[in-house]
Amino acid sequence: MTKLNQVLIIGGLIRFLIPTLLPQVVPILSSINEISTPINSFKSLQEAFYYFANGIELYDGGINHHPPVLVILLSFVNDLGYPVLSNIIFNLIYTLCDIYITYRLIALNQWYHDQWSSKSGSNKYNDDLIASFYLFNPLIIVTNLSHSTLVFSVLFIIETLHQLLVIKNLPRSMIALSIASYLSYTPVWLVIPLLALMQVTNPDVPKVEIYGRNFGFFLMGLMLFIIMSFLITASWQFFYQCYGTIFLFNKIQPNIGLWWYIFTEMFEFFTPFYIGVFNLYSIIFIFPITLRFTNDGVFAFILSLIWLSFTKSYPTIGDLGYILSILPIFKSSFLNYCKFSIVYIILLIICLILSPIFYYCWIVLGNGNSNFFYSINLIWGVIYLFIMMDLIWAKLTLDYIMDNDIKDKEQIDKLRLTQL
Amino acid sequence: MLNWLPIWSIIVLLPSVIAGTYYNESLSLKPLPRNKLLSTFAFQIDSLPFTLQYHNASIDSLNDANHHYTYFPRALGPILESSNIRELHLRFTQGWWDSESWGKLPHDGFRSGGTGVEVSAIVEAPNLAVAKENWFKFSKTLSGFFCASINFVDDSITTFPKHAVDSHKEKKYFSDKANKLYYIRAALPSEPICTENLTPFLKLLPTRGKAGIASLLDGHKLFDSLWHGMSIDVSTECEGDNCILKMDQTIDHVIDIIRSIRKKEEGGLPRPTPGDKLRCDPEKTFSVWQCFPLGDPTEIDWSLETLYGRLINGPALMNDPKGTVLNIITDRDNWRITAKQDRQDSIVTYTVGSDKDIITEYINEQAKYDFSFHTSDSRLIVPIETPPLIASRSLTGYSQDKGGFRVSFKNPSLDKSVDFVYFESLPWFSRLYLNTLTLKVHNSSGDFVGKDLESTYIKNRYYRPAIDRSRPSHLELLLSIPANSSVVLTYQFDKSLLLYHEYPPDANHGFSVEPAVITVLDDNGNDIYEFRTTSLLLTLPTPDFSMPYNVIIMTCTIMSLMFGSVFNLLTKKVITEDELDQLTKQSKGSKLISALKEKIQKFKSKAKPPPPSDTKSTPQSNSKEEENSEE
Repeated sequence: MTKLNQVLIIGGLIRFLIPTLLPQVVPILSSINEISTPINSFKSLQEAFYYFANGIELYDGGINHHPPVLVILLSFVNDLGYPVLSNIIFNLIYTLCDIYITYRLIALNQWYHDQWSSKSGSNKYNDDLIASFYLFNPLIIVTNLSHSTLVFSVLFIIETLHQLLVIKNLPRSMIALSIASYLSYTPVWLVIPLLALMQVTNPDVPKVEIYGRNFGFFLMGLMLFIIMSFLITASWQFFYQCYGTIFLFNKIQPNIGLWWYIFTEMFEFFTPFYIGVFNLYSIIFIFPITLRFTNDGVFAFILSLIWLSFTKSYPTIGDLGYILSILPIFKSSFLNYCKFSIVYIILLIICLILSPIFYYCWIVLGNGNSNFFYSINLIWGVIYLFIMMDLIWAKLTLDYIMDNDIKDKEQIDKLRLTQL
Repeated sequence: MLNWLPIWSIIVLLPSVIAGTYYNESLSLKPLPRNKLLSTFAFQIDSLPFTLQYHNASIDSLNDANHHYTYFPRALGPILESSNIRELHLRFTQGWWDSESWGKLPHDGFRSGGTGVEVSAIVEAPNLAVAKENWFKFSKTLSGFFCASINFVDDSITTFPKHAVDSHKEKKYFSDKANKLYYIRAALPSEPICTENLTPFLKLLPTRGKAGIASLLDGHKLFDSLWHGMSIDVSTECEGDNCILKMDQTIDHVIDIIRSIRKKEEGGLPRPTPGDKLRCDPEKTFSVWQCFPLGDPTEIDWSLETLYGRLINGPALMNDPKGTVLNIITDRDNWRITAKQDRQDSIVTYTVGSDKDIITEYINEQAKYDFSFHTSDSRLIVPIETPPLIASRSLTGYSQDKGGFRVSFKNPSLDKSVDFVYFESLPWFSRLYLNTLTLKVHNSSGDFVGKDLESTYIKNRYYRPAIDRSRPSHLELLLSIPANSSVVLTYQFDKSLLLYHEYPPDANHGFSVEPAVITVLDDNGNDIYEFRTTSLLLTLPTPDFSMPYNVIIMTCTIMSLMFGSVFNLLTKKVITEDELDQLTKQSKGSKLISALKEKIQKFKSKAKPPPPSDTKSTPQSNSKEEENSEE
């Protein structure tokens, strides 16, 4: 048995056996604020199944924020031998999703290495390591065990990259992104770096075709799903419930992001203004990042993803987990120049330990207040700040080295860079 | 509605049928176990016949010529007409009805609300939007009228009960065939009931509370009860084109007789019982120093004056000898009831009795009436009627972000199953997960849990989920519980965080959840009994209320830090530090600074040559200069 297979089997078993043997793990994890939000929790999905089974309108209420197609597809699974068998099938589906993502990441790692090893001269991580980074990442494991629908969204984002880079099927890549956007709104902005990436990876295709045709595919896919949803539910209520809630942030529940506390504490008449500011802020760097890093489109894509998960209204620890597990792909290029990783890894550990404690102090014991938990939100923001700065700086360093063609290892070590 | 109102309603309605008048009142007294007394005031007022008209607020003003008020309160009529209210039910209740020792609620529970204020009305309107508009207008008016916060009734607590609508279907009193009737309901569980609600209540009566049985009503005594409820029911009854407004007002309350006697004898402040009045258990150690107290005395002596501090001030209406009636429901053999008429010139005392189960006494003399009760054993009373169902609801869970409801139903009957509708309206901030509904059944053959039980016990269900800030969740279950078994329902919910401005002043006190309404049905599906569970107190997570500015400042700091750093990294050019040094040396600014530095140095050395002994000051001043120049 190869090392990769061992990793896949152990990773798969963790995801499958724990919820199968201890079914209470799923509801517990899906009601923890750091792991799942009202937008993507399995708890609300199950309530949606209940509505669907009992003929209650899916979007005429304040619980269900999952898109209709997802609810209906998964409710068919739920109907298979409720409750024992359907739970096992759900465990299996979620396990397979993660295994699938792992395979895609391995392929992406190979592709990225092929692109960059000649230029940067760095090695890549082996397949089994890439798989371990993903499958043994505790943040991803808890997200998977909580059966958060974030998993599906991430799956389609990774699939987008895989279709574009490895399989080189542009329309399919666009359709995968449209599904991801349909599932959770935020990936819709990834279309900008993705189109740029397409242009770079397919230099021989005319620009008009890239931007026109593929963007057309993306819109078509999105419209198709939205119209399908409209036909299923026979009203536009789903649009407000699924996307309006994310955009307008009207479901206030503590999470690890920066939105909830500011809007809880905000004076009523300022709220619309800040909603606008926060939404603008969440997309403000997508275009600049894409422009600045056209030479490495995958990096621009991932950086945009990080930006979006930092600024999104309902973030979870899983969002960061996926990013951290995708980053090892960049071992071939700039990852060696990251200097602060130890700082933010320690910060992250502190955050992960303190966050549930502070939350417990506030909500259950009552000997702390909301500010305790809020302080963790701020640190969480600082972690993102460190990651963004570190990655960009590493990338800029690598670019400088390559632009000036510095080959000597000693010279690279001595290199002191700054910005003007 | 008459068919399911047994003896109580007959008592209330009978005199009106006989006398054919527009006003009747009655007071019923019924001793309960352990020296409690249920006292029920009922007032009935009918309006003159009139033709029903739909009032459109945007077109016409209220037709004031349509006088059909005689005894019917002039204040309430126009309010009902202007908002097209065809039926009104208003309940003010506080306290807990102990159904296990007091039995069935008075009027079979149809006149008792849950804790707080409850309003429901049937509105005639062409469509739902107009109905709601009228409803909100009406609730605002009622609010001022009854000095209660009914103006807080808004979309987020208004429901349209389904079962109640179905049971009102046969009622047809439209002024316009195109219109529909809407049954709308809202409850304010945290509303305290007090004297300011009683005063407008009495103002509605033609006697204004000055004569008849209403003259007994005093806020201090009435609200000192274990349980009390006031109700106002207005309904429209039509025969062809002729309609009348019927108004029933009731006040029910349970008095602790011992407490009333003690308050009369000792005043409001509780004092230790003097030694000679101690009631000791002679079967246990009993000496000057030791006394094991006995329970409440069973030989008691009290009168209406003990309970109310007042006397009945003659009949309500002088010309109606049967308009004011007193009913006493008790064990005739063990209670001696004496009436006392205090006329201006004489005092008449006589023993009241009757052959029937109920003693009926008309108040028809212009005198002050008092009734005194004496019994040697107050435990001997008319046996209490067991209610058809006993229910209780409680909260489960201990954290402020999630919890659950546990509702238990017990069928006390040994041979008859009971069907009932469970109606519950929960505030939007408790986000219900109805898929977690589980049923636990306990009967003579053991305990059962399981999903498959639902279909056997829950015959029908209606659920309308809540929408944040605009609609409560609305659950109606039709359950059937076999004889001698109990069913426990549990379901989970999440508690939402509210916005800063949505919290009431004492946010940590919690939020009241309105009582659930349980309507027991007979075999034909008619309502036979109604009661409510208690209200619940829900504690929500609270933010720190002193933080708005700090949060804005700190969150925006993180955001701008991120923005600034990324912006710098993306836009600036990357160079080595050596290059930077060279560039800065070449730049005009740095040249100017170095020139300046030289000048200062020269000036200093000229003006004040440093003394050789002061070695320490020189490097300090130098470093300061450097700092200055860097700036």
